[in-house]
Amino acid sequence: MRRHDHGSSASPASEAKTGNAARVDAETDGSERAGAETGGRGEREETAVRLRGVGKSYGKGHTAVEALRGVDLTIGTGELVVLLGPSGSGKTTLLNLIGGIEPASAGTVEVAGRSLAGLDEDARTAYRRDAVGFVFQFFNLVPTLTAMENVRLVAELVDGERGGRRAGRGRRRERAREALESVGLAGRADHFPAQLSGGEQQRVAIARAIAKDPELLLCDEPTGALDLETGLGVLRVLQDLNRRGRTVLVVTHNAAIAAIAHRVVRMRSGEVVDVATRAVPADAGEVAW
Amino acid sequence: MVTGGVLAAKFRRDLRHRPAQLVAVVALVMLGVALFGASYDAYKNLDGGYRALFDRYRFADITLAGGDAEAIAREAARTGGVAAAATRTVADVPLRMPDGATMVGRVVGMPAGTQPAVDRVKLRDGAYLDASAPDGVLAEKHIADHAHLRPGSKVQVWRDGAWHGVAVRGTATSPEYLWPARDRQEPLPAPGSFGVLFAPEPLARRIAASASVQGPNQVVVHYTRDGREDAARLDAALTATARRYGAPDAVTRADQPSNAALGEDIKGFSELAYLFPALFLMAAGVAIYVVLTRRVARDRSLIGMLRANGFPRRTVLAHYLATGVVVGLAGAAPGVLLGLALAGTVTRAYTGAIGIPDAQVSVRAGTVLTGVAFALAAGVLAALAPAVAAARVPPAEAMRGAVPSGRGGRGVLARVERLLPVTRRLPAGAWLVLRGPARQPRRTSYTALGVVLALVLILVSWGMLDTSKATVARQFDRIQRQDAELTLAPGTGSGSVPRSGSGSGSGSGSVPVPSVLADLARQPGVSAAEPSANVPVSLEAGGRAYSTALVGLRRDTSMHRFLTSAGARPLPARGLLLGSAMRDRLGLKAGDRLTVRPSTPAGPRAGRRRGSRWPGSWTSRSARSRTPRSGRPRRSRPASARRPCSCGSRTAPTGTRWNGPSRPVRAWSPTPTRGRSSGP
Repeated sequence: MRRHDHGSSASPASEAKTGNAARVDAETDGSERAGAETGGRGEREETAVRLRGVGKSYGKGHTAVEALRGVDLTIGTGELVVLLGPSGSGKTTLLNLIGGIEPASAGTVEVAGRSLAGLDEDARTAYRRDAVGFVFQFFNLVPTLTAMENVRLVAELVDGERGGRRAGRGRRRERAREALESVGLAGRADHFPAQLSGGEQQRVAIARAIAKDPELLLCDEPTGALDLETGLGVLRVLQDLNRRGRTVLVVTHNAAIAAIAHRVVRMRSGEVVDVATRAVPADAGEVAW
Repeated sequence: MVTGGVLAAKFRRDLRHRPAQLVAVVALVMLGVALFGASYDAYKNLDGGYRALFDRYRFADITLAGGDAEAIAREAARTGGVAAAATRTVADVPLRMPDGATMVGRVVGMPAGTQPAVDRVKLRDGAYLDASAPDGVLAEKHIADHAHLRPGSKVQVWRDGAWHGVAVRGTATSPEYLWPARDRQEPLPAPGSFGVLFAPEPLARRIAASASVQGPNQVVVHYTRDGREDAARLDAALTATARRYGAPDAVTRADQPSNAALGEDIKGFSELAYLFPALFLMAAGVAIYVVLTRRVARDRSLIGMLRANGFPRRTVLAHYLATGVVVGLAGAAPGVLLGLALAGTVTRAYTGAIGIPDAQVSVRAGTVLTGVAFALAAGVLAALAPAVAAARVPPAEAMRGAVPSGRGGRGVLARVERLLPVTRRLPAGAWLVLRGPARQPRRTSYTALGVVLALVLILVSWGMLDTSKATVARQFDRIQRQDAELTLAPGTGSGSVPRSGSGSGSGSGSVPVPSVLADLARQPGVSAAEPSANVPVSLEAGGRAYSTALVGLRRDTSMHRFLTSAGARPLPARGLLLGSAMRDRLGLKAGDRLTVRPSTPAGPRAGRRRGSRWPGSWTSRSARSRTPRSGRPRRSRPASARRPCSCGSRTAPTGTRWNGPSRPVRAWSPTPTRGRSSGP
């Protein structure tokens, strides 16, 4: 199945994830620069994220700061996209808008065909809970909870709010264990964050993000606080998750990381200035910086 | 709302993370609740205990003195709402204890063989009055304890110019004298300077006769339960009845000296029941606020993570609010238990100290619930602001981490730098210290408030002690300046006092008053001696009346100062000088007229009265007073002032039994009002 009509409504996320291929399509300032197929990943048929004329400003009057200006971007389901740019270029702001953490000041943001415009705080909270997983630069693990508990924390939230308490504690624990296994930390489940290395902590954070089975994984500088070795370990996990069909958006200022992406979106001063597509993304193990 | 499971585990571990901090805050709440429970329940115990005691011993609701007592009693008994009305004879007369100490005591007549209908007593030991022992008396607890009176002890009563022995049949407590107040003007008689004997009515009449009191001179009235609910109307009606039969003096239960004094005291409990707990709970609240504000600041990025992952605001709010709830409950539980235990201890100690026969200690669900509610309220209110702040943290900002506030700190310090350029030379370390608190002005303010509250707690406690001491010192050093008082027998004003005799028997001659004064003034260590008079009166103005004592002093007296905010003022050449409390009670201002009615005395208290001849009694202010101080007028030195009677010396009251706010020291407060008297 192929779908080139990016304006059409998206099928449910579960359906999108079943497809192992997706079409990459990106536009900058309204002009399409890339529309290539990524080799080896099959066809893409769903649009995971679509931004149209998105702007974000902070403050008012002469003190207003425009963090984003007229950003158009479409990300296909199952794609691994790297947002690259210097500090202050607006990449984290863009991530926050896609993640529903902040509302856009202008334009529209659609995720899996659902527009985030006009959502109130409660609806945005529900959206974040159900559709998005976040990975942060500084992990943000709860220091008084073990690795397993940090993951279960989010699993419980999703179960509780989705009315899924019937799933039971055992099922939640199982899901958390699976998430930890997927990042290779099943053996460290009962360790507290202070007993884990930085890379392990970030992998726990990734496990926490995927424990709720989100449509979209948003990673803000996931290797920013890590050395090369541990950073590569984290990238491997992210790439592995992407290869299993999850859409991943990575924000970084580290250009080397762009090698693992299907597409690299470069930002500067709140604008997308370049989109580059890689026919064959590098394996995370081949990356170095 | 997701508050169970892992988030609950986080909550528990957060609390355990700083155990000392948690224990400190919980201890503050516990102390607040415990103090509330102890003082409020003690107050309720005492109040309830008094009421039960008053009911059991049929404590008079109103006492009518003077006039035709029999007629008043008959009328009163016919009045709706009156359960019983009884007559009796009461007189203040000189008493001599077995150890030779003398005092102006009180003899109260009672029926022999059966308890009176009103104002019954509880026998502590010995036997009740009996017609077969016409000279047998009951000694009231306080004087019995002080003078070591037991059944069989002999006490002498001055009657008909001589000491007459009476036998103590037993000792008793009375609702009228739970606190041994002589009257409203003298609620704190020095120990041993006042005592009460309950005598068979015929004996009381014989004794009173020598004090110019003929026949029963008091009517005591006990109301029914319904009558007590309408006590104000009944009081007014009976007072009017008494007036018609020539009784000028009506004392309601609320004004009864012992009850009024105790009422003031337990009122202090009720006030303390709120004051100290409020201070402790406020301190706990501030501590919770500061601790939680710090925790929210520390958890800022975690809150951002929770919010970004879809935790709703209410979950974050509940998570941090739970700290206040848990601290409140954790403090309330032991606080309630401690409060209940302390309430019982305080009640028993208090009732034991003043000799209330039956301590009533109850556990009140209302107090428990109120204590828990106070603790919860303190915890929740204190936690509310930080919890709301946590719930409102924008996730995007939170994940960027805490941004040092430039507001407040930088601004304030910048102004300091501008105003004091020398501060620029401060080392960087000093600026680090200064900018820390200045960057979080609100948190700094609350931390400072916590310190202030802790200081307030200390200062209030010490302040109360200081106030008590200062009040006593002001009253007994600066206002009442005499070191000792010698109470003379009535009639000595005409020129003589009786020479004391030893043991029972008639007096042996008399000494003129001027001669007594001259003798006193010549005693070693005595710098001055002055006469004074003390007459029970009823003051009336604008439809209001108040029974009090009219004190006569020399206009140039050096024994008593009249202090105002502008300093000491002299006695007026004409009219009366009233204390501000009396002025307010009667609604008077300077220049107003008021009526002065002499009350029929329970017995003469005046130093100068015509009539029967009494010996005097001596009361020294304190052992200190025996050392002369130059320029300070005083009366005499007790040890050498054995004429005209045998004397006993007592230590002045220290006031430590009285809490500052409730200590009744207002009769001579510092804004006197000059009025004019008009005779009845």
